[in-house]
Amino acid sequence: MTAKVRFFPIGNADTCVIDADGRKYVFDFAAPTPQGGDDLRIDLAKTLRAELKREKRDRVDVVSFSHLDTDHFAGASEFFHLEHARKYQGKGRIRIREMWVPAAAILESKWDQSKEGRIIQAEARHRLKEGKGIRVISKPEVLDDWLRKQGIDPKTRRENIVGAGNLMPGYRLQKTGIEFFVHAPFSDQRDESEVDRNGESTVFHVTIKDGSDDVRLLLTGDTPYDVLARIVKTTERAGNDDRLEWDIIKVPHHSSYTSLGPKKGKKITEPVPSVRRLYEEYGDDDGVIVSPSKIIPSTDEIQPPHKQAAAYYETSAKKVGADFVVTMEYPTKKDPKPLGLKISGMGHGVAIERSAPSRPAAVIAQPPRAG
Amino acid sequence: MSEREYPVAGASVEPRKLTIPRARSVARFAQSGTNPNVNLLSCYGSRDDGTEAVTVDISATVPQRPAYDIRRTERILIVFDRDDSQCPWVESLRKDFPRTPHTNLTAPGKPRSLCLYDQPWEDVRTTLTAPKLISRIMWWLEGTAAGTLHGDDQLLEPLLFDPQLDLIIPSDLLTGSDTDEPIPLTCFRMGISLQLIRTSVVTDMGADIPQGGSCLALMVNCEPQLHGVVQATPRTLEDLHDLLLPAGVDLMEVLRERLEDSEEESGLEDVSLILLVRLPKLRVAEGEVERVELRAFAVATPISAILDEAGRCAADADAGESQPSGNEIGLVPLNPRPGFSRELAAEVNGESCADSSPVIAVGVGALGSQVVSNLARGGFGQWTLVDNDLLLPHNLGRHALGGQYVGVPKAAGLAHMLSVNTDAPPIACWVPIDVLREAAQSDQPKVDWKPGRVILDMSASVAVARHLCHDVESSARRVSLFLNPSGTALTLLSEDVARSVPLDLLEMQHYRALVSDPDLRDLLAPSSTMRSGVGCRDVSTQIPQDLVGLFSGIGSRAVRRALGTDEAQVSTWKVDESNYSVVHTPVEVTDVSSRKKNGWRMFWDAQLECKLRRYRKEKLPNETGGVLIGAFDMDRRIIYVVDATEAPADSEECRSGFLRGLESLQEEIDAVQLATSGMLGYIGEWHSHPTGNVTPSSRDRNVIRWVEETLNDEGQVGVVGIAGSKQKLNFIPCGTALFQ
Repeated sequence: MTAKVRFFPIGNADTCVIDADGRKYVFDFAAPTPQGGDDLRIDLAKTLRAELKREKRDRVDVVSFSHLDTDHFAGASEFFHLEHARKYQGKGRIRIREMWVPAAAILESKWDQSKEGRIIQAEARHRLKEGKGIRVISKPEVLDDWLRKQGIDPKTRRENIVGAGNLMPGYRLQKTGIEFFVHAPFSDQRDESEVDRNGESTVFHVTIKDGSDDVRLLLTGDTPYDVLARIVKTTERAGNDDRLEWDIIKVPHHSSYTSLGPKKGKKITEPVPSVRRLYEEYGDDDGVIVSPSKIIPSTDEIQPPHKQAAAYYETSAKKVGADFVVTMEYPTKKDPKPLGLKISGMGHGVAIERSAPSRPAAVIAQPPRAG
Repeated sequence: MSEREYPVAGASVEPRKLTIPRARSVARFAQSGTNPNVNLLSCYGSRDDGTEAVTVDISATVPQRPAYDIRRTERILIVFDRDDSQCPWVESLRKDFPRTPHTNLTAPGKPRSLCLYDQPWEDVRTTLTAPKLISRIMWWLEGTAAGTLHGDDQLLEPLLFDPQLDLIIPSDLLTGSDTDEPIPLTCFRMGISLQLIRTSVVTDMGADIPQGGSCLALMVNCEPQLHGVVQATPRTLEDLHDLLLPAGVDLMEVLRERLEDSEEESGLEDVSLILLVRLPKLRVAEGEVERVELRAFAVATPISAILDEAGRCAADADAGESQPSGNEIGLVPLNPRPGFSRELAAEVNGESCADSSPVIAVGVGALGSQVVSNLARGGFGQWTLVDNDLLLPHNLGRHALGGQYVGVPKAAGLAHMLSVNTDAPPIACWVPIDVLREAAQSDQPKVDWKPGRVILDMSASVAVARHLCHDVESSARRVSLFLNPSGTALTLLSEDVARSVPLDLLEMQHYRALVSDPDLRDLLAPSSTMRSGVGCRDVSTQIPQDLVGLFSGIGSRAVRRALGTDEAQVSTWKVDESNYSVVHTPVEVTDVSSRKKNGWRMFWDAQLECKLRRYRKEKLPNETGGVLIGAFDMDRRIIYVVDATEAPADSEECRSGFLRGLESLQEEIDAVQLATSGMLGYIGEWHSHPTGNVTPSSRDRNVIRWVEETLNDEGQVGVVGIAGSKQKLNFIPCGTALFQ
């Protein structure tokens, strides 16, 4: 089985598309509207729509939102067919077989939600009420109150709820060629009085079959360092070290230093020890570290990406022979393109897809007007 | 220079200081950033061997655990030959680059060299651009890393280079002659018979075929005899001497007289003697000679011994002794048959007369050898056979030649076979060269193209056909004959006598028919191949000899008929494998026009003009347009404009302009490329003007610029066509082929 993992040059925003065994999985969906000029982000919605049309698909198997920040769902309400209102249905919209969200996406209510955030939440809530096409990452009891308020017996929704430390149901490596282990959010993390979306982002460890071997992908959210550290320690304690090993790792929060340690540092962010272990001990040889972010700045900035964090990722990449790839810098800063990570199915591991140019052939581009 | 890398010879120069065009274009391309996976490091000039070189870093799709130790980014040296006569030599500079399949053989301690192409360089060269070369290196690295470059059916690469010597056993037949002089011949033992050929023919073969035993044939002409004179078969020279005395021949005397001269010329210790005895036969005494009976005897003793004996006989006779001791010299009686003449060939084939038109046949592989053989056996052609391939065992499945020619150049073997099949003079000569390299190799024999009436291309190579069409000086008609990849169809392209539609344009009209005619659409579908050796190019298609035989039969007859008319012809014959019926699909040949501009020659034909006129008229008063289909010959700077599409459904057509849409276009172009095996493809845009003014407007210049920019990335030029009223048509080549 061949498989492909893709990241896209969409600025400080997350989207990871996995194609494996004929299925398509979308982890976060942030489709920018490129402004032209210096804005080199790609039109993700257009790219994916064309791809699905080519593949004669009108649906994807999974759309997972790590948390409800705009840079993880922008444009989703225009791209996908949503079950909860007619308004979000119609020709050209892509159906979602199963939607995955953290519990916070159902429960959060009073904060800085954008309009689109509320639409995504409405869809998740609708699906949970219907009990179809949804998995919520949480401890079962956390959602009980909310369900009762909707007049639903919580017991009837148990199968829609998956706790940390489990595999997403329906996917087993031997059967589907891919499986998803849930690291976060932790079930005890939810504190209704205080909301920390980043802290409650989902973190998945994905295993993809590659012949007699496997390729492992760690998909973080905007996970802060303390949560990441806790994931490492908890998993080690449970003896599940293999669920920390990676060939591909998506670094959290667009290379923000806050996902490595408490202090930004001057030249390099020093990670807390367990986070350091994640990067330096659990990374297999010659893997890939992906930062879905803008170009790494040469100056000290307040917003990510932070050059100090990137400096650490570069250093750790060298230690394990990995490539550190920034989505807006691949293959060149001048002309970024989607990053394809190819898994041949022959046990060779992951390869960064390199192809010769680039510009669409004349027959799939439109010439200027003739007169 | 790192210790882990091989140093590069020569002086580092700026890319623009490179003098070899291909080197400069690769350097400029690598520098341009068009392909982000290649990075120019240095350029080298002033190298001892006159070459120039470019070093680049190339990143390919290389996995974590590759089948061979290929890195994600490799440092590559590309060396360019001054006259572009061979593929750029591509090496890894890394000292620990692994030993992999598909590397050229290099000495230990030298950089590993990537073997990039399994086609001959001449075929690659015409379409190779810098972007394509870089892509090919990326493809090599990716395939080698994945372990998929080496086909499963290919033998393992050799550990040592070990050329093998082939052993050849030729064949022949007996010839007859009226001369009294001894005839130098070469004698071969074939099975239980001896076969003779003229030594002159053998000499023509060159050193490739080991010489047989030398012998002299001696014609002994007897006086007319009443038939039935030789009743017993003589077993010794003495027997024969006695037998011939009544026919007025003193054999011993004849031998002494004629052979003594020869003996002085060369040592005859090892030379055998063949006696050919002509016995004119009379039905009745004093009547007309009705028939000449030919008897042959091989004398199993060297000529020097025969002379001794003959001399002794004479001395004995002088001394009055009546018992010559010639019975010590044995004879092998032979049953001679007349040779096969051109006239006899025509006769047995039912042709009214033999035809000795000079024909130059290029390519005598499976199809070529059988077509030539068919024609020659029918008494047709005075042949020059051009081919530099050797006959190898796997060829025997489908070649006109038999196993005794293995190891001999195919052209030589065939010329030999045809010439020994036929009575002297030889009907075929051979030139063992690769026509594409003829000019480059001054020490090689040359083909004399001028006297040919026909140049018959059966090389199965587009590059060769184009070369014969353009680069060979001769007024001869060019005719191409080739099978499709699966061997289920034969195509004939035959120029008219005046060559007004040359071979390459017939080729283009053939490709267009492949796209438009549903019956021909799958003609070029790929076929299964097999490995005949360990080299990358040792690939043979798997086509049954039955089909080659079928189509060489059709082909030889079609060639003869085509040459009987003055018109051009494009024809395809296709077999239905369920019942072996063959359907003939002729393609109407239309006149061609051409234009030269910006250093490019453009060709198109009447059918395309007609099509553009129709599309334009249908949409009046609005403008319309579409894309142009065609091909390039980068070597000769030719653009073939072959076909055009209608406006895609989502185009915008109005009175003042045209915006070409996209709908179904990719599919259409894909279908063209599939049907023509990539020979035709997108080459540019066309649109109509409502008036007769076909000069580009300012808007049109934007289109021209757009085509330039878009195709430049692929190292190509493009064409913009404008169709106006009164059948006006303007094709404008655009682009600079920056990376050619």
